[in-house]
Amino acid sequence: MKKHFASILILLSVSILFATGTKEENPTVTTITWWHSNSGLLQDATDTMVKQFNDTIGKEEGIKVNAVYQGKASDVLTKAKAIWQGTNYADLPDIIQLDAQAIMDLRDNPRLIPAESLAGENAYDLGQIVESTRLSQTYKGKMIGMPFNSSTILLYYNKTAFEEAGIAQPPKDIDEMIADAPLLLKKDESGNVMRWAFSGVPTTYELCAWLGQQNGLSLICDQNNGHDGIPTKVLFDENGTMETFLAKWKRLYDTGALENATSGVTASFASGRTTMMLASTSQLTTVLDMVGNRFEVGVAYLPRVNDQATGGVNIGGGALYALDNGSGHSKAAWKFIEFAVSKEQQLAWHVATGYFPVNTGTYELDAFKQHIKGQPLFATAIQQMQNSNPKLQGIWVPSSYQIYYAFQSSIMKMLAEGKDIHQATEEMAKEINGYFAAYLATQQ
Amino acid sequence: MKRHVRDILVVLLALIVLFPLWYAFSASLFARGDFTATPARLFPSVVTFSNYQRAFRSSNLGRYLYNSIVSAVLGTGLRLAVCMAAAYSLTTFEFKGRDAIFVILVSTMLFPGDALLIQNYQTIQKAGLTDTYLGLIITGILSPTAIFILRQYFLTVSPEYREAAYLEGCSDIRFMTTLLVPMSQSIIIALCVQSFTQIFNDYLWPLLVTNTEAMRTVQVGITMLGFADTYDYGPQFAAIVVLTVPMIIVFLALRNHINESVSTRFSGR
Repeated sequence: MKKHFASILILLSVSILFATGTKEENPTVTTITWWHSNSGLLQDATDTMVKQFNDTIGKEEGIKVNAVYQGKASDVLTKAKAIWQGTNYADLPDIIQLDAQAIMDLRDNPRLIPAESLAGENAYDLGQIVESTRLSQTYKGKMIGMPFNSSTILLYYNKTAFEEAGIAQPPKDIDEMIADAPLLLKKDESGNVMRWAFSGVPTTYELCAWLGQQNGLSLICDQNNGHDGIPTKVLFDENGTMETFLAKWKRLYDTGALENATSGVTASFASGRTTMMLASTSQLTTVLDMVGNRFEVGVAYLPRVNDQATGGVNIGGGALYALDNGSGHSKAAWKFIEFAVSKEQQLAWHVATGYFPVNTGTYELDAFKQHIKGQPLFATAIQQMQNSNPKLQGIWVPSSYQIYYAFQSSIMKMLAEGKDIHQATEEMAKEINGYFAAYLATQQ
Repeated sequence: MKRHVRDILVVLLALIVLFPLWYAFSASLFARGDFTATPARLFPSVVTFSNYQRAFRSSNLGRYLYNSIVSAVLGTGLRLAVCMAAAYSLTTFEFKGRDAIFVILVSTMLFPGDALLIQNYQTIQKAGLTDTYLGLIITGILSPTAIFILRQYFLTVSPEYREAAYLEGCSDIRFMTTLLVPMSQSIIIALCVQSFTQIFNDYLWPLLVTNTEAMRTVQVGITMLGFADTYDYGPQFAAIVVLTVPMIIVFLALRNHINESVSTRFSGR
């Protein structure tokens, strides 16, 4: 007993010494600010993560993370832009979470501290980050941001409707979609469509995968889809991927079961007005929640364009970027970034939000294996990502809004007006090349 | 006959105006699935107040509402004081460059506010006014529109009033506060309502100049509810209903004056 008492006493005095010792080393706590656009469920997950950091590693190292919601992703960017266009950078956060829309403003920004540089300084092994997500943040061969909320495109289908129509399996490719479509279409006596087979108009998000997956891997524009510099021209017209896709898509439209809807598709799917849609894997929780007991939801890989289209899907979503605001806190910021993408935190983040883990270690955790066993739909989403060519990447382009609408309106027009596929492709290429040229002219 | 047609038109217009308000109220009572029901719902399937509970529980809505009201009241008061003084001097005093100043002021009405957003932000940032009420309102204090409207109104007030007041030894400030303000009551109240709603409804500016939770305004707060990302609009509608209340109170309190200002302006007095 006496012995125990003595050892406790020693332990206590050592810990007091240690405590005061650290205090002297860190007279002030380093505060790291993280701007994000995570609201609702995502905000809860964000706050939990930050609290755990502040209570553990943060406490030990004298770092306190302050997560600040700054509106929608576009608002976060507007605010950051307002600061870095001026001269007073002190108001910039240490960490900013942004999505692909922001990439043109970020990647050559002198305030950006590339994640790969920080990883190097801190001897962090980037090999533990899932390769496709790492490449999705790579600019001129260097990873500039840490992938954090990563997702891919996924086919959602109404399993109940499929079973009623006598279709056993979701479509593997667009040909099968074409075969299934008439069986899923429902009309009333006067010929009004009550239920569509598929709703949606392919645009940037869908085309990155549908064009990129062809012939194993195809590029949509030069400069490695914009990851090696500002693109000068599109390649989908030269490599034939757009025409191959449009030919299939037109046949699907000709079944009369494809609805050219540009908005409200998720609500339409959840209410049973359409049997298939494409959406992000990160929407899975939401869709399941919205559908409730109305019908059984199934998910499947994005239907392939043809047998040679083996590339799979590309990574979307957002990343954490470290910024230089003159505080010299980048080391502390990196500590938190490391924590946020650690295998344990990525598991918690995945369970709470549906974004898939970006740390390869998460997939080896027993807790993850247990979790995914009970979640076959999430398992499908993750398998699709793992079976895709990691080199298949989204496009980094200027004027992304205009390009989005160029794709969307050209495809809609082609279908509705029966325009020639070749002509539609040429027009799209010409319009988008024009946006590239205009942007390049401003950069000289 | 003519009267009936007019009445029907008025009722139709009122319905168009009231529909969104009423729908927001109805939707604030919706259960989750009601938003995606087919055909679309106009009434809740069951009346539930859980959206209100969720809106208040998941955010600091009370604090945001307080910040919005404080900045709207302060901003409106200061704007009216500054603009009235400006309009008064532009109508009453003869000085060199008076008309030039007026023309320059009016021409700034052509600049869209958004074009100045970033420049304004940088100014506020340099002045160290981020996360303060002053930072929230200061860029809106000088309103060329308000100066223009007030000046035009003051011009219709006969100069004899002021001359008479001068003869009695009344100062300019006293003349403004005791005579001119009551005489232009209706126009001032109309400007108050317009200014209050404008500051209260602003989104991007308060988002830019505030960083702390404690200084956020209600329009920013509503987006933080975030349920809309998951097609669960109930709490957002509940919050919208809550923040419409101050507006309705302001309107009801000043209804007669607003009506008067509208009717005098339309009758071209």
